[in-house]
Amino acid sequence: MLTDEQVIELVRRADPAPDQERLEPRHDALTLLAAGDDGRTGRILTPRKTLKLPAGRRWLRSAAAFVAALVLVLGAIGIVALVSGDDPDAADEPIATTPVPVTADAPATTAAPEPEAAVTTAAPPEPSAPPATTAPPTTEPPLTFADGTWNLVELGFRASEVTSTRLGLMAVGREAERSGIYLSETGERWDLVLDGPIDGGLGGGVVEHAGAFYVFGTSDSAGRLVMRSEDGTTWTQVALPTVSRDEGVVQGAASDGDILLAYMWDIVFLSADGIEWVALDAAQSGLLENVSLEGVIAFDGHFYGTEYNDERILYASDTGADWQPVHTFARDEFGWPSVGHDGVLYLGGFTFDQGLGPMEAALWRMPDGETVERIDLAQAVFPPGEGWTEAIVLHDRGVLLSFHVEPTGSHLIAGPGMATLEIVDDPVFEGAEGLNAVTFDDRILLFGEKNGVPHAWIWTPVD
Amino acid sequence: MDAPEQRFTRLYDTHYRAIVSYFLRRVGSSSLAHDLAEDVFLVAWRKLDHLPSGDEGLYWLFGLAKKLLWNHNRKAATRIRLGHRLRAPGEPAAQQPEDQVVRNDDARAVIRALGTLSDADQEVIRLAYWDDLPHAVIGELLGCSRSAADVRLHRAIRRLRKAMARSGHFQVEELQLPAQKET
Repeated sequence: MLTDEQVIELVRRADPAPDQERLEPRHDALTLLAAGDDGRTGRILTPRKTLKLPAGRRWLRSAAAFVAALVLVLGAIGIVALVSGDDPDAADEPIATTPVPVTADAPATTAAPEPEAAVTTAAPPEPSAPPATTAPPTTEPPLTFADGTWNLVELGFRASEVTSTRLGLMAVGREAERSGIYLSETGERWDLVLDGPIDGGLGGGVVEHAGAFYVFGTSDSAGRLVMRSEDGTTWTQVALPTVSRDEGVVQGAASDGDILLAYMWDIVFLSADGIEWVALDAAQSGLLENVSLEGVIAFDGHFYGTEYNDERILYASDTGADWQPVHTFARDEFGWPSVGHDGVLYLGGFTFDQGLGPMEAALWRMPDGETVERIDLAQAVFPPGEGWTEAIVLHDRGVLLSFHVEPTGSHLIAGPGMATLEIVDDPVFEGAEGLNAVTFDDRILLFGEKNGVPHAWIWTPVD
Repeated sequence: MDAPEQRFTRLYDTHYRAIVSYFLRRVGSSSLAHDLAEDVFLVAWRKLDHLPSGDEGLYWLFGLAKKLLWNHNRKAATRIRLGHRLRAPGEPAAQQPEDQVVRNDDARAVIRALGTLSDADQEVIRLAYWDDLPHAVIGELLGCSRSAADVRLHRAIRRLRKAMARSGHFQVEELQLPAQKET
């Protein structure tokens, strides 16, 4: 067997960049400085063809949304007129953004699963409230994540993306040297439905859009592309527009029902039908130059995305083509849109020191499409280390959050509401790392690695 | 006192190669490595007044590089995709003359074995033997003490040694390496 010294020598010889003298500085930075760079100048990409948005469908959707809103308003007026006393919408009160003291014996007194419910119901009763003249109705204790079981399943592939679709769970992942698309009805058993047809690799998001499924990939010969299927089993290859950047992969994708959007650093690909695509660079889309998009989700009729640069900014767009900044994070904060629920967008992320200090997991919410508020979670304080928010699950039974902390891996907290979260101390999560989450039916699937081996953790509720 | 432009130019000329090498060792794409290095120096320019001098400045740049790289790789999904697309580190960037084929074969085997370790093990090995950073700085970058970094590195090398042995690629008698110590 090799000695440690021999191993170290072999490691040194394997250095991919052994000869630093051969690395010529490109002096881009100096050039930018000479040009009076303000920190935002960057590559200017060649304008490409104009996107044709499905204006008719978008107008129709807007009209439908207006009618739906009108019906809701009228319905709400009717309910208010009919019901006095208990406010059924109390759970919609905004969540407290300051730490809420949680005592060990503080009961979760509400059956409402809304994350904010625990906060709003924690308020003491009005002193002047008249005593109840009749016996209070017997209420069942709320069902929580404790009323369910976690089942650990070893996966034969490393899932990079998993999405809930009409066919069940669809994943893109890798096993050995190939990448493929997998389908599962329950999360326990997976079938490979497309076996790495291209020589680059699949990844970059699995999206269901307008009745079809899309998986993004890269081919060494054909460049960036998208695989498209209408039934989940027969897939065809669609080319994405050629862009000036020859490196990089499609990082993610989202659909708002009308537009299918994929992104790669500072380039956005858009399509209405998944077949004809246009590419917009940062200058065309209104995003700043030299940005690196970090996560885009479609929620509530808009796309939301954050960019990472020296400044960290949350952008919103209702078309995917024109983006407007809606929030600039503090200089020691960075969040990315993670999940939307009941009109509120939640952002996971981290805070950090400007120097070499550790990053710590953090969470934000945007209740009104404009204001971003930090959610302080005393429960999410873990041993010092590099940490960030991995997964946010908003479920009928409550809230489940996963945080990554170096070097210990994933840590979970869960509870009926944001103010009543407790650490999930289940040995099934020992050695868990890189967790992502998806909900399907009333189940939750976390996928990641356990001790370096791909696994899925499937939570099934028990009534 | 030097003008900011002069200070920055000196910083850039002195440390650019170390920083781009840092990225080359981790992303495998020359273009991407240069892009990320460029980002490091743009941030450095904006923070020039707060930048320590000498080696401390280099370590500060490494800390910043680490954050930029970390953000680049943040999502596990992205990491997996990039890992597939951008090849194992060293393969394309280290396209060497034909007489380097054997060395590259060994290098690929080392990198494959390295890839079987945890991210933390891989990183401490890279920082120590590719980036050649002092262990105190490694500790700072990893958020632990120097002695903890020593322990991590020792354990990581042990695990790498096992992984390399499992690969069956390395036959000790064929290697012209430091002799095996007497036990």
